[in-house]
Amino acid sequence: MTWVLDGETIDVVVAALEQTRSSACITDAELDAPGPRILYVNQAYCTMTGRSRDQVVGSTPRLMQGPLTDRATLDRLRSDLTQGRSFAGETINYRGDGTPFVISWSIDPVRNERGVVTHFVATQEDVTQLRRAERRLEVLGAVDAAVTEVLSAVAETSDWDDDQLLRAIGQPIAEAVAAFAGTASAALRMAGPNGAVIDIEGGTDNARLTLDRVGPSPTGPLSLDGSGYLARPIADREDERLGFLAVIDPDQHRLDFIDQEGLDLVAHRVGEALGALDEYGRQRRIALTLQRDLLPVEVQCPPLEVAARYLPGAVRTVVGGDWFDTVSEDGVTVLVVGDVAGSGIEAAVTMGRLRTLTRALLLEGQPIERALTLADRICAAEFLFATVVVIRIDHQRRCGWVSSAGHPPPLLRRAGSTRALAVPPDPPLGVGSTKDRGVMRFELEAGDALLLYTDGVVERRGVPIDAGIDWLISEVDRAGQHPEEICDTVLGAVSGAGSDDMALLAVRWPTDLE
Amino acid sequence: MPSTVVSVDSHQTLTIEIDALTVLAVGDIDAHTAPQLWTALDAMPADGAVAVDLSGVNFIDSSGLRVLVRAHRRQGEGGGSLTLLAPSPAVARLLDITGLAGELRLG
Repeated sequence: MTWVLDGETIDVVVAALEQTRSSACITDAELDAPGPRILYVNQAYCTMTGRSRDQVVGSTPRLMQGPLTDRATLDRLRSDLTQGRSFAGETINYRGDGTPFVISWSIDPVRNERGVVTHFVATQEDVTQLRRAERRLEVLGAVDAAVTEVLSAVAETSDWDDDQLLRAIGQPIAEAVAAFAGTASAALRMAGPNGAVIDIEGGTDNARLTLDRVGPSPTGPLSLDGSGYLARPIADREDERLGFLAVIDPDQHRLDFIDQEGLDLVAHRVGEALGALDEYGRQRRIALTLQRDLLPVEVQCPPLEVAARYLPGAVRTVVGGDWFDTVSEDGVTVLVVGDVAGSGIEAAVTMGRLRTLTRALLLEGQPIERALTLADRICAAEFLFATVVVIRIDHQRRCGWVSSAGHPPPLLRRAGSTRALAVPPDPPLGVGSTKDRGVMRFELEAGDALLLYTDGVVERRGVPIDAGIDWLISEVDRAGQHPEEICDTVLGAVSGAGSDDMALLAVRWPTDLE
Repeated sequence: MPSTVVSVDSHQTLTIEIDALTVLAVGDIDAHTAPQLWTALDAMPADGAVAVDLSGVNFIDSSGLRVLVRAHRRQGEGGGSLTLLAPSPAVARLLDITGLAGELRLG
């Protein structure tokens, strides 16, 4: 079907082609170099490529190509056009001033009335901004995913140190940055704990030499632009330098095309993420220090043998508010183990207040259930919440009294057989209960051992609490005689399994005591 | 009436749905997720007969218990009430051991 345009219509078609925002280019059909020859480009083409019509017409589209132009795409173009097919593709082209840009273009053959391909018509679009936006989203997502994934993994154990954490998060970040920049590699040089320098490489190159050229110290002066690399400082929200990142390309070509603004964004986001991690570690250390400072330096209650342990929970839970305490005077020993709900610095501080409070009440000589009633009222008024168990041991009468505020029951081991004390279950501190609290008296014999613990020891997801207590009983059964051995056996058995923090207090009535 | 999922935490360990005065919690209530439950309960009218459906909860730690106690007090002070519905055997046992079964209202 042939449709002949009249002269007037042709004028309109040409005017439209000249004025459309879509770029167009017409060449002859000579595919071998130096062809094809450009016959016509419209105004939009000149704007997009930064070249005048004088520079372009009579020349070849090859002049748009450069080192980053993808050879495979050009080969496909040639093969498609040779076989008379249309082509569509995307690659990097260069403007008149040498700046690279991403071009998405299509070429269709133009046939004469005999069906012979005489020309090609191409339309182009500059998709640089679009692709950059996509890559930015991708790399920022990868940075966030690296942090989230590692922190989730860390939440399952308390064994990670800051150095490991930084490497585990830094590795995928370095790889994502290399992918973002399109370079062979990217690397991070970070300030580690205790002044250590931590280098993290993503990609294939040996980045150490480049990092040294950027700056020997992660927090020292930097040369941000050098041949073969581009670097950015990494700083936290307070602008404190944590290190720097570098994208590395020995050929330099990729560096010319790097989305520098995007690289700024990435460095900024990495700084925020690693800064938050740093803050996380700092908070954990403060809470841990606070926790240790608030716990007794040593527990002693002669003639009883005693041992105590505190184990912080996993990183995500940070430090909780578990505590233990002993009060010993005038032939009486009082043992306390408690658990303030919550975690972190706030829980540690609350724990300190509650430990002091219960200690003061017990030192006044209050019966233990009365001390708990008073502590409950104070906690309710101050919106504090904690579980606590208290045992009072009378050395002379060789007996004990136990009272619990919402706390799991202490264990008693006698002659190698362990059982949970049948403590009356009374509500936690902070409930403001008006009911009388119960207390249970029990006898003590030579060689008896008592174990007080917090819920972190027996509570497991998917395991009923009684099963947890039964498990603890079997561990105490097989533990050695001394309280230190009991604590070690239990902690050895729970090691790594807990996400909550744990406190243990074990005492033993010596066999040689008259 | 369709219920609304109001929050799913990033580790997806607790989902909370609200249907009128009933809060349905599904998952684990621990130090990490307890604040979500409190946010939901704190948004309830303090003079209302609010219920927490615990049938989908298998694990509660002391942070979770604190939220239940706090909400119980809030409703009490506001003239309303808080009822815990259908606790699983594990949760019911925990409420017994912690002496909260006698303090909180179980329905």
